[in-house]
Amino acid sequence: MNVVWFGHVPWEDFADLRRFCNIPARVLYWVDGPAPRSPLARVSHGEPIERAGADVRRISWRRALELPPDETVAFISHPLWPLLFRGWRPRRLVAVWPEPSGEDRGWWYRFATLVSGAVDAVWAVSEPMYLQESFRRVGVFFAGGGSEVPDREGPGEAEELFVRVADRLMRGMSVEDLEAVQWRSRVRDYEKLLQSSGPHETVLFLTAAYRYLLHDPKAEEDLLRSFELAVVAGRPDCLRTHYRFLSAVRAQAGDIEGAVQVYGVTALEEGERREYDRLRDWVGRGERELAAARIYCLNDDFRSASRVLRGLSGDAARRLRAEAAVRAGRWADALQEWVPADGRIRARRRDAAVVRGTIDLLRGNRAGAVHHFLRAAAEDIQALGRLLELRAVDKHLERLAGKGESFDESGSKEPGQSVDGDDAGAQ
Amino acid sequence: MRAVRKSRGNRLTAMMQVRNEADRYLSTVLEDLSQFVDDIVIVDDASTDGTPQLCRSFSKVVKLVVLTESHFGREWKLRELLWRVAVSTGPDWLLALDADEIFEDRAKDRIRALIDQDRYDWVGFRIFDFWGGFTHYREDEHWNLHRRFTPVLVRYLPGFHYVYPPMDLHVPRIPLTYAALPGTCSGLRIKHFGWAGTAEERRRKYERYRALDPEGRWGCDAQYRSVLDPNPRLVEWREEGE
Repeated sequence: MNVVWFGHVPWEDFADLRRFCNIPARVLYWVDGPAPRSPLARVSHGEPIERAGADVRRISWRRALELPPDETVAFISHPLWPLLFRGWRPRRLVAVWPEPSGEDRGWWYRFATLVSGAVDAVWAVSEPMYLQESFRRVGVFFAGGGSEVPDREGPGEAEELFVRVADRLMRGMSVEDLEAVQWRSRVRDYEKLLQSSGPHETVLFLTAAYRYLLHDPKAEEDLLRSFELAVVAGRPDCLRTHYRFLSAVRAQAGDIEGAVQVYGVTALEEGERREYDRLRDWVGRGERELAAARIYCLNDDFRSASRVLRGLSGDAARRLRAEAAVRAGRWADALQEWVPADGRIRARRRDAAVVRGTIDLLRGNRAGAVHHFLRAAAEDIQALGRLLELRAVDKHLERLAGKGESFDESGSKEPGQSVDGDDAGAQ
Repeated sequence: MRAVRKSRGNRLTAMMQVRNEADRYLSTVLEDLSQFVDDIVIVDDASTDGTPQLCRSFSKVVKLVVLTESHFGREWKLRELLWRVAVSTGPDWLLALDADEIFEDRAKDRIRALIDQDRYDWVGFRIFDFWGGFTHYREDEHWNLHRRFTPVLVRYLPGFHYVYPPMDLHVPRIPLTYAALPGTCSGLRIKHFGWAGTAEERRRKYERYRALDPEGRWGCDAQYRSVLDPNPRLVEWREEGE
């Protein structure tokens, strides 16, 4: 099995994540990411890199795409690499997201989020991103060093797990059960912090979040204590940012009525009040699973929502499944939920066009993306933002791939790559 | 499934903790409340002067809990108990008044409009500290509660997380977590007669507070001392429309 890592920086600057490179492979192929200061010309094909352990060879991204995809596991630590892959789809694709810095931060998070749903596993250095992704999908791991937790025990825990995850992925095995190892570890770390530093709103909230992922009923206690501290601190909107999460905790415990009532307390805007009325209506009609799935969605827990919705039938469940898929970045799954009747509704036509454009974008089919985003903009002018975003993509992609390289043209010419053509009902 | 907030038909329950109020303002306050609330819930903090009997004489007092041992030095326990007893009656709204507080007259006609809505969960009012009688209230750097709005009227949301701060004295009369809920402020005023008695009564009250809070841990030391000010700044009370 070939292992190739598409970097976010050149190898020489790859200090932050290099500790994860002890992947069980004879050779690790390394593709340099953009260099802030160094010239891109430093990339030379097949150049060996000094490193302890496995042999690491630097190759260009074009050369990397010549590796047989069925025999290759790829790691990416820059979110635009998949746009250059075009038809190349490795056997396993793993995202390892570093902590972005400076002005690239917003853009980076946006695209890392777009790409995360389409990979086989995600590692994140940033804890907020790790948590966000853990609530979106399965196969998410923490690559952070736990620097906020003093005297953290078990150095190298993440690196060891990284190897286990990589090994399982290479052997085609599930990695879902390995996530709980880190959730438990985070709970232990934060419990220690609470014991040494006393109650802290954010730490309690994070502990509650990890306990929730572990289905630990103590999540409620930590969450409510965090909410109390947020109230005392005068945190604006803590009813939504803290208390609302209790609705997901209650739903997870099977108390759907309680979950809906908690959401109702936090439903202050018109849209939220309509949402609450709909939830009550579902519960009243015995559609408890639908209500639970919606509660999960309203708490950004698309992982649980997708699980609950998997076995449900009916139009409402289908639409919720589509929404959960979109929010989780599972674009192709979202498109599968689309039915011709959706074409009669403007907002759904827009959503479908955005999903198709995003799929094309992530496949490196710029022309296809432009086409669909324009169609989305014709339904809703707000969708023009997607087109404007392409300019940022062009700029960053040029830095990633080299001067003069773009993801325009060639990608769109590949037969069978565009997702267009099946949306006649959208007219 | 019942909505957590309803915009009509709300039941209003007054709740109050009392201690030795029989010869003070309790009768007036209960008479006044009986004109516009649906129920009254009272916790008597080990009175020795017939206060429970007085409470029972009002038909709207639907629940009265009489403690045999005073909780005055652990006020948050008393507030918590009162809250638990009050919500056990299934109220829609709760009005938390003290036994020496009374709304101005126009409140009777207007308070229903404040609770029969589904947008706000608490209402704040200005509270005026009457001083040495019923014609003037005190206003200076330590006595200015009437310049801000104190939430005393709250919607009861079953299942919400209600917490009182563990304070021995001067505990907020409603759970602090109401601060996270949407509220509004009313122009209706509350008259507080706790300091309206004689100078000797004020001195006794001052000494009681000082005994419970000698270091000013729960209250403001300067405000405690200002109780004995022989010449406080007083402002004449004017009824609405005067």
